[in-house]
Amino acid sequence: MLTVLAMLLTLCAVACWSMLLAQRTGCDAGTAPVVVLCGGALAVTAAGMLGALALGAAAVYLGAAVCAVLALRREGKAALCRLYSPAFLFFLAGAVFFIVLFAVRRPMLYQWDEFTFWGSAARAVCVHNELYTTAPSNMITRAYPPVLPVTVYLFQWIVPGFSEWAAYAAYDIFALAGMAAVAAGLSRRRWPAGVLTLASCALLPLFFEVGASTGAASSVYLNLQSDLQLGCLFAAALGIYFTAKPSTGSLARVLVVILALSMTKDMGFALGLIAAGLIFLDLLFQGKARPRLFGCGSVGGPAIFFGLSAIVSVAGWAGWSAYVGLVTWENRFDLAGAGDTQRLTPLSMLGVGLRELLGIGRTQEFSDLAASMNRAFFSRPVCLLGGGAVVAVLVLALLAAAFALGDRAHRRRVAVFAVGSLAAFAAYWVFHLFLYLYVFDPSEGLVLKDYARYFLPFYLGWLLGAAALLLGAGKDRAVGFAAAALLAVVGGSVLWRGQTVNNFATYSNTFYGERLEVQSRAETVNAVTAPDDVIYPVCQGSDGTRWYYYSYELEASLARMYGGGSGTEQDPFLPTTACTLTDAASLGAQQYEVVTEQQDLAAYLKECGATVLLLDVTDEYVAQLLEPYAAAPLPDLTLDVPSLWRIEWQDGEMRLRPLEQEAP
Amino acid sequence: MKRIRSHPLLAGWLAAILLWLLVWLGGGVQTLFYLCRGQAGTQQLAPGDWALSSLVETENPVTGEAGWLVSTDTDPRMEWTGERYVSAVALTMSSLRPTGAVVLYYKTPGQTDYSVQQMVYAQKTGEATYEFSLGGQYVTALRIDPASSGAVFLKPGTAVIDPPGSWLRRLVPNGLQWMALLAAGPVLAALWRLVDNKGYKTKE
Repeated sequence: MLTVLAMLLTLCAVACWSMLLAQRTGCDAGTAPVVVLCGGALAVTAAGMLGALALGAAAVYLGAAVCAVLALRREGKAALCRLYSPAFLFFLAGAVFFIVLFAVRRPMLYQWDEFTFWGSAARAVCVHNELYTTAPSNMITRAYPPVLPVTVYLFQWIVPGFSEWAAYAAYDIFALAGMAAVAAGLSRRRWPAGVLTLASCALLPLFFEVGASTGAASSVYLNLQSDLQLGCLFAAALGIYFTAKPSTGSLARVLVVILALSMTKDMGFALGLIAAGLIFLDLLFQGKARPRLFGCGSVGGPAIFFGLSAIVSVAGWAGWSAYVGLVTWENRFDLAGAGDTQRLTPLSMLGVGLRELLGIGRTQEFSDLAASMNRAFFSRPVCLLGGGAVVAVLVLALLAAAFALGDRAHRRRVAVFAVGSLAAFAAYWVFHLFLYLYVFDPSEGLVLKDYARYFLPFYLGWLLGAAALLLGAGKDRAVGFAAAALLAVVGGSVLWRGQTVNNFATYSNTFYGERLEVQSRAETVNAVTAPDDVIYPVCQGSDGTRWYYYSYELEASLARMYGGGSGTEQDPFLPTTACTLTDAASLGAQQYEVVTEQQDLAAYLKECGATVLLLDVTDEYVAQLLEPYAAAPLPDLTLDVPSLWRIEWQDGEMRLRPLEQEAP
Repeated sequence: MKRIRSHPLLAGWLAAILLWLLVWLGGGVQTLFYLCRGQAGTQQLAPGDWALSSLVETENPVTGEAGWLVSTDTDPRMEWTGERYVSAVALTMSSLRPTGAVVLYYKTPGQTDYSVQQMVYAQKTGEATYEFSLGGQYVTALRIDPASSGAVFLKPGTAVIDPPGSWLRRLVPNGLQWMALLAAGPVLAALWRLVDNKGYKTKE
């Protein structure tokens, strides 16, 4: 209940900030929540980098109270009426819906990447009241940008601890804020078009679900991996600009979102520059209608805007990278090269890639991957109706409607956006070609790993940007019918092919069985181990899932599991794929396994500094392997409770002592 | 008409609630129809009523209790064949380890194979109770996948088709249906406003 109240209080704070922003800038309140959430997360991150995370959050809440006083003193009730816009009400109603839904259903984290970073990072920040870069945890990486984990912290700041369902709700509220900006600034006569467009916006994440036809459970709106939020931020940058008259104020708000993009995920850097480029082009082609911007007339204003966008994007990315380099062992300026482990900086990757793109020294690998990506644009599903080509057709249809229904100035705007966004898509496509070729492992690049996920942010933002332009066209009723057509396509696709059986609102809690078991076992382990223990878990038959769950739940450190891996001396907790220990004769029975002899395992446990052995899922082979070292009989089955053993070394020989004996 | 124009949002929500009630009552009529034909109503299935696949009988490895099953691969199945109208199925089942997703498939008349378009995930409502909501289907077979991995020890108990109150419980929307009902008000109001041309003939 306390967490629900905390989240509602945060919504109130967002509303107060939005009220003042709308009052002082004259913008539609629908564009305010995304600016407020981005600004708040950035401010708190800055405070966190200085070691004052909680103070930063407190300042955001105090600031909200001040905003409310200032806004109400000036206009009284009229200040509140500024929040009465379809876009803001959509944001508020959607936010309350997610809070109530998830508070009742209590979803839990369950996807791997939520345990390698996203969920673990949010948890570390909330539990320790410091940035995850320095907070104790078993996270695989600490380098990813901070906006979303810090947003989760903002929503839970007042309540001690961490709620997973609240993290999901915070992420979804962040996405709603981005969507709302697309349908802001509408006249009263245009509210039907706004409502129908916002309904489409809410369904779009389900529209971009891939794999629904196979019956797989949907992770839409139950996902901390940030791709949806990235797409919504990209759309918000365009929406803030397109839904208002260009001014220094509106562009300043766009800059806040662009900075947040580069600090949400590394790909946000590219999306921020794309948004800035499209806005720059629009301003450039406005001709005499262009207002003075940043104190400059003619092309000076747009140029300053684009320059500032580049500066804030680079500053955001580089600033965070420098901070990470200072407080952790990670160097974000290096990229892992494919194949022969040649290390590339981002600039050298671009240089090498552009040369091959122009045919200079082009390798066969480059040609094959380019052909594969060409085919994928048409054949690889990225939405319920098919590949990227379908999305492009949908975008162009929206733009065609916006063109047909607009006046001359609007038609020029739509044409510029169409050409500019197609060029941007080509650049985005090329950038991903470089990523698959130079950054990914060859086995992953060849199969275009997570292709749909990586293209989702661009497609989503592109579609929403086109929707914003449609809403800006003339002829209220015709625009309304066009919006209804969009809802029919999106909504119809979701009903026809979407995952309506097992999704964020109807998911099966049977998925959480293993998570709940590990959670319960980890409580037992935490009760008898110390934070400075190093625990080696044995999880026979697991594909790594249980290792990731333990890494999240345990207070002590988790050792790298025997079987090799890609860890470094500076980063000892990078795990291998969790390996089943087996003998040579039985090799091949499990998916991930390694042949292990007694002396190899003992030597490894010494090397990784393990102090506790956790027999989570064991078997006869493990019992036989460890029997010579054990001071008591080892179980060959751990179906109800795990078995814990203290690892000790006497005269160079390993000894295993049951841990329960130490409990007071 | 005048009232709808002046309160379109309220009218939209009323229309959505009416539609929902109609759908629910329709399900009631359907249930009554099949009840009269002896093809509806509460029915209990004992563990022996299921045909097992990739499940072998064994003892509980911890207590030695007989009557347990263990999955031999990632796709264990329990199948029941019979024609009747089904709203919901409740299965009691003990397990020693997490089962993973528990899923029910159903076949309708004329179908030879099960399909992912006709599957329902279980909701675990108690320590050993799994509930499947089919929302009213005339089926010719039911198949439950009680686990999604091998080496899982299970003890299925009684399954109840259409536990008492199943039809009444269909009145309560699930999360997605709640979202649709809440959104229906503004969406229907917007569509009505577009269709009702008079609203666009007045100046602001």
